[in-house]
Amino acid sequence: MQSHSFFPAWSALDWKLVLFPALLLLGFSAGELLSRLRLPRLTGYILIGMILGDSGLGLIDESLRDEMGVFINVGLGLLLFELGQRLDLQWMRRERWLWLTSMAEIALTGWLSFTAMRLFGFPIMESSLLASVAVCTSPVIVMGLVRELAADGPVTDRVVSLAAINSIASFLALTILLGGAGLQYAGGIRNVVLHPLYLIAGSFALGWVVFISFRFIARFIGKSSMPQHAVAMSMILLAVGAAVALKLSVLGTLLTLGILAKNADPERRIRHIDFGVGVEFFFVILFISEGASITLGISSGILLPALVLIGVRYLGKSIPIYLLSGFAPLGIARAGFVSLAMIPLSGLAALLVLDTRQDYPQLRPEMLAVIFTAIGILELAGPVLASFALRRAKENRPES
Amino acid sequence: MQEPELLHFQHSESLSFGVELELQLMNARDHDLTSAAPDLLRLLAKLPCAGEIKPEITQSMIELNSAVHTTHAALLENLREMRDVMVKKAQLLNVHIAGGGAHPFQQWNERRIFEDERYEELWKRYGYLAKQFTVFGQHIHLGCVDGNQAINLLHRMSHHIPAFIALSAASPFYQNQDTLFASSRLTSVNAFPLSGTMPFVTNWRDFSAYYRRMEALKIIASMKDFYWDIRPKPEYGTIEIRVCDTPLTVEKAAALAAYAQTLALQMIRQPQVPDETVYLAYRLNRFNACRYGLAGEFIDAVTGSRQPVGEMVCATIDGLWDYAAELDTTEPLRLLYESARRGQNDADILREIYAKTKSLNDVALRQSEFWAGSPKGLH
Repeated sequence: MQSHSFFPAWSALDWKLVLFPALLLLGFSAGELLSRLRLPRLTGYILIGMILGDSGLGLIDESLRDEMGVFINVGLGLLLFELGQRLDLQWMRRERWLWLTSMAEIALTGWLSFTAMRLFGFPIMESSLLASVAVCTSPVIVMGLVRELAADGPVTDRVVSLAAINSIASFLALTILLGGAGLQYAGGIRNVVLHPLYLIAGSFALGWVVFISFRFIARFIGKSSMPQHAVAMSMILLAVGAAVALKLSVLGTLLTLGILAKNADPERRIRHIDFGVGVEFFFVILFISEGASITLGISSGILLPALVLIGVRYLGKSIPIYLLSGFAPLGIARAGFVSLAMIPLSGLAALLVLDTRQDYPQLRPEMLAVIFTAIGILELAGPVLASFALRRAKENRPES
Repeated sequence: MQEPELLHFQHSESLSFGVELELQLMNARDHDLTSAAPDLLRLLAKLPCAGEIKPEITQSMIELNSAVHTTHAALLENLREMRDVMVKKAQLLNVHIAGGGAHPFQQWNERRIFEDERYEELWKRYGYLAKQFTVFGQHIHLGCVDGNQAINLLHRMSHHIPAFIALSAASPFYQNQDTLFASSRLTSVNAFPLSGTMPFVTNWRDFSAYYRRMEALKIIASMKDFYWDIRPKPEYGTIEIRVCDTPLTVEKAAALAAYAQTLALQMIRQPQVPDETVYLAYRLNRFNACRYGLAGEFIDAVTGSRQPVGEMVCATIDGLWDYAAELDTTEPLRLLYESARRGQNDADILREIYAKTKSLNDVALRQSEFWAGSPKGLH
C-alpha cells in the first residue's frame, strides 16, 4: 500500500501567505523603532517600502502589489474621506483670511514652480504639470500624521484645510491639463473636453450619489457608533471601488464624499467618524506601497531641478502663510508651524501625471524623473518636518 | 505667646458681586475638547468690555471673570458682552465655547496642562487629579465689608449649598457615561486633600490664626490652596461660592449670582450667629443634591425637617421677594423658582437631548449652541 503524505509539497507552498504578514511585521517594527526616536511611524513604513520595493531589493513586485490593492484602497479611502470631513465650509465663510491664504499659496506655488521649470528648459505643458503637482500637499501623509499624533488644534485645522483645498486645486489643474495634452498631441473633442469633464463631473457625481445613499441609510440606523462605523466603512469602500472601476479619481470622489458628509448634512445624521487604531493595518500597507513605488534613479541633471522645485515650492507656500498671518487669527509665531507642515508632496498627484504620460508618450520623460526625485526626497523629509511642526505647535496628544 | 498676624481683608461694598465662569473649548468636528486656550487667549488679550479672560489648569478650558457689579442687570449685560466677544473670536479658530459642568465624553488623559508655573506645579503635586480637574464651575463672589461679616455670611450660606448645587447642576455625563448624577463635577473636587468646608471659626481673628498655622506648617501657600465649597477671598474682600456647575447660559449664571446676592441681603437684615449644627447633615445634603438634583432630599439639621431640594428652594425664595424687589432681582429669582418648582435643571435638559439624539456629540454641540445664545426651549 502506498503511503499518503500529509505534508504539503515544498514547491507548492504559497509563500505570499507568509510574505504579506512578514511585510506588515517589518513595517510595524520600523514604525515602532522610529517612533522611539520621536520620528513619525509612517516614515518607517515608507522606508520599508523603499528598501523592499523597486528601488531596493525588488521583493514587492507587481503581483504582491495587486494583492495589496484592496488594503491600499481602503487606507486611501479612509484618509481622504476624513480629510474631506475636516473641511468646514462654515468656518471658511467666517474666516476669510484662510481663504485668502489658501488662494495665495496655491497661486504663488504654482507660478514659482512653473517659472522655475521653464528656466530649466521644460516646455509649457511639462512645466504646468510639474507646477500642478507642486501645488498639492500630500493629503494622505498629512492625514496619516494627524491620525498618528492625534493632532488637534488651530494649527492642525489650518494645515488640514489648506491641504484639502490645494489637493482639490491640484486635481482640477491636472485634469484640465490632461485635456490640454490631448489638444496638443491627440486633438478631438473626446480627449480635450470629454475626458477631463468625465473625470471632474464623474468624480463629483459619484461622491454625491454615495453621500446621498449614506445619509439615507444613516437616517434608519441612528447615531450609535457601531452601525455608523460599519456603514461608513462600507460606503468608503463602495466609493473607492466604484471610482476605480469607472476610471474616475479616487481623490476627487472621496474628498467630495467627505466634504458633503461634513457640510451638506444639516441634521447631522452622519457622525464624524474616527476609525480608531483598528484600521492602522490599512495605513501600514498604504505607506509601504507608497514607499515601494518610489524610483530613486537620481542623476545630476535631474537632481538640481528637483531640488529647485522643492525650494520654490516651500517659498510659494510659506511666503503667503507668513505674510497673511499678521492679519489671520493664528498669528505670525504659529505661521512657521503651518508652513512646515505643508511640505509633504503628493504621490497621488504624481500618479495622475504618470497616467497622463502613458496616454501621451510625447511628454518629456525627464518631467517624471523630476517629480519622482522630489517625491523621493520629500517622502522622507516631509513627514519628519510636518511631524516636528505639529509637535512643536503642541497639538499632538500628550502621550503620543 | 505672641498673637499671629491678622490677615488683611480688603473692604468691599456690601452686596457687590461678580462671577467667574470656567468654560469648555470644543472643536467643531466632533465637539470633543480641544487645546485652543493659548491661541484664544492671544485673540482675547484686549477686550472691548469690562472683565477679564484667564487661562485655567488645562488648555481646553478658559475662564471668564466678570467685572464687579451691584445689580443683576449690569452683571447680565456684562456677561452677555463678554460671551459675544469670546464666541466671535473663537469662531475664527473654528472653536466652540460651551457651558455645562463637565464635557460629556472627553478623555481626561488627553488633556494638556496650561504652560504656567502654578499649573505645572499642580500637575507635579496632584498627578492625574490635575488633568481630571478639567471640569467647569461657576464661582460667585459676594462683597463683604470686613472679615467678620465674611465669616458670618460664609457659615450661613453653607445651609444653601445644596440649593446652589441642584439649581446649577449641568454635568450628568462624564467620560462617555451617564453618571446618574445631576452634578458629577463635584466628585472631581472631592479628591483634593484640602477640599470640603472651612473649619467652624466664628470671627476673622480666629480664621487668621488658623490660616497662619496652616501657612507655617507649609500645608498652604495661599488661599488658592483651599478647595473649599465656600472660601473667604480676603484680597478681593469677598466670600466665594464654588459649588455651582457652569450653567448652559449666561442668563442662568447671572440668576444664580442674583440669588446669592438676595440671600446675603436677607442675612444682613436678619443678623444671626452661625450655627455649627448646619454641618451635621452637610455632606449628605451635598451628596443628595449632586446625585438627585432638585429631587434630592434636604435635611435641615437645625429643625429636623426633610424635603426635596426643589421645595426648599421655593420656600427660601418665597421669603426673599421683598429683598428681591429692593435689589431688582425679582426676574432672575422667578426663573430659578420656576426651575425648582418644575424640578428641572440643566442636567435634565442635557439628558433630554441625549434621549432624543442618542449622541453625546450632539449633546456637546447643543451645549455650545446654548452658550452662544440660542436657548431654544431652555429654562
